[in-house]
Amino acid sequence: MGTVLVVTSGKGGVGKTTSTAALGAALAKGGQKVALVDFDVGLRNLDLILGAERRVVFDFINVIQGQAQLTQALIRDKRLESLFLLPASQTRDKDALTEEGVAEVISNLREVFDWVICDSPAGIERGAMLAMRHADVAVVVTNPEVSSVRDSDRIIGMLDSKTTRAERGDPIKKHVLITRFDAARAARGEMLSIEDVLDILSLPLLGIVPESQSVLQASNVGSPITLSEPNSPPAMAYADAARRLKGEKVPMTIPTAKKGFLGGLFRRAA
Amino acid sequence: MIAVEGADQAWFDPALAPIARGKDSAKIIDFLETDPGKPDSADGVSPAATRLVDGPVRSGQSIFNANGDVTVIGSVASGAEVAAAGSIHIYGTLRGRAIAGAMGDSTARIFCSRFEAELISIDGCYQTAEQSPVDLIDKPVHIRLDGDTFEMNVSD
Repeated sequence: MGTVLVVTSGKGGVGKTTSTAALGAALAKGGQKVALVDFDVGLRNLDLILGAERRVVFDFINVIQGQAQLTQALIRDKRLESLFLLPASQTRDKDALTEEGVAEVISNLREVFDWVICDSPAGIERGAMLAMRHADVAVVVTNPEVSSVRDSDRIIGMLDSKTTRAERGDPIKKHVLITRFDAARAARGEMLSIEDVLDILSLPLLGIVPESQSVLQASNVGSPITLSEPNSPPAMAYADAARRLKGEKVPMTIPTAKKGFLGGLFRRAA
Repeated sequence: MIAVEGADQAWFDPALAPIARGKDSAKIIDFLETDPGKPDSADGVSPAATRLVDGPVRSGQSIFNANGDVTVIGSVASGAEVAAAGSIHIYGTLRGRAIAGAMGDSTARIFCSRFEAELISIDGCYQTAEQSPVDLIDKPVHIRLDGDTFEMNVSD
């Protein structure tokens, strides 16, 4: 039986989809069998971030409505053979996701995969509720700013009340993943510090992903950052976070770009 | 409904979806949620009318004409879907999905001024962007079905 993980945040644009792809790829790279499920029906993006948009035939809604088999809708990643995507439908809306349909798809995936990672849409509406509904573990993606932290707090409340585990009295495991962290701005007081965020949310920290151009570049070329630039600071942060999800003890660091010795020597080309 | 696969040929009925073919076509393909247009001519539209879309079809939109062709004066975005019982004509870039002959018509065709489609389908046969010939990308393309294969030509 695999673990169902929801990547959620409440607020939009904080990095849920990027984090889903990066964590999924990092876990798959470590030999785990991973299914990424896009719950953002009507505004799907995960296919683009994974570079699978040209291979979508069937989607989550087709499976729920019995028009396609789960195996037909799952798209295998071209780089990692244990990484799969179940894309969302772009032409439907979230009402097409039914409670029973989602339950069945998730339970089928859970039997085959080690990790089922649900990429939640922003907001606290139906799509977000269904994405977290069957989760065992939640990753709450937060930017170090007040609006994002407040929205995350709201989502954490829902994780503790609206999930099947919460209803069974067996609360889900929750982690905070801080993304787009800028150490220089935090030091100048222009961002909330890590301590402030953790103090407000009072959850264990899964990782700190620094703000970086390479995240943007990875999205644009359709590759999870953990695959396209595994040695970049954000990719290392995601790789560490993935190991922590597996239960490994990894010391918490804020990865930064290292200025190599040679970088200082060769500053100019002739 | 664009096609039914695995059914007995005897089941075939022009009123139903066509029998699907192709190496990886599904048992049942049923993408379309839109109700199949208005067959009546109450609003002055004849039953075999072309549905004209005078503008772009945006991501998430689904255009369906169960009675004839669809003509789009504009582009069809990635994540948008145009389906017709007959042929599809796009005077713009086709970046989304085009499903022609959706009610069963192997003579239906797809025309676009610029080809970048995510998926094309005629009479239940389909092909994703990945399977499409790269040399046709960004070109004006005319697509028809020849048995189980697509014949795709630059229409200059």
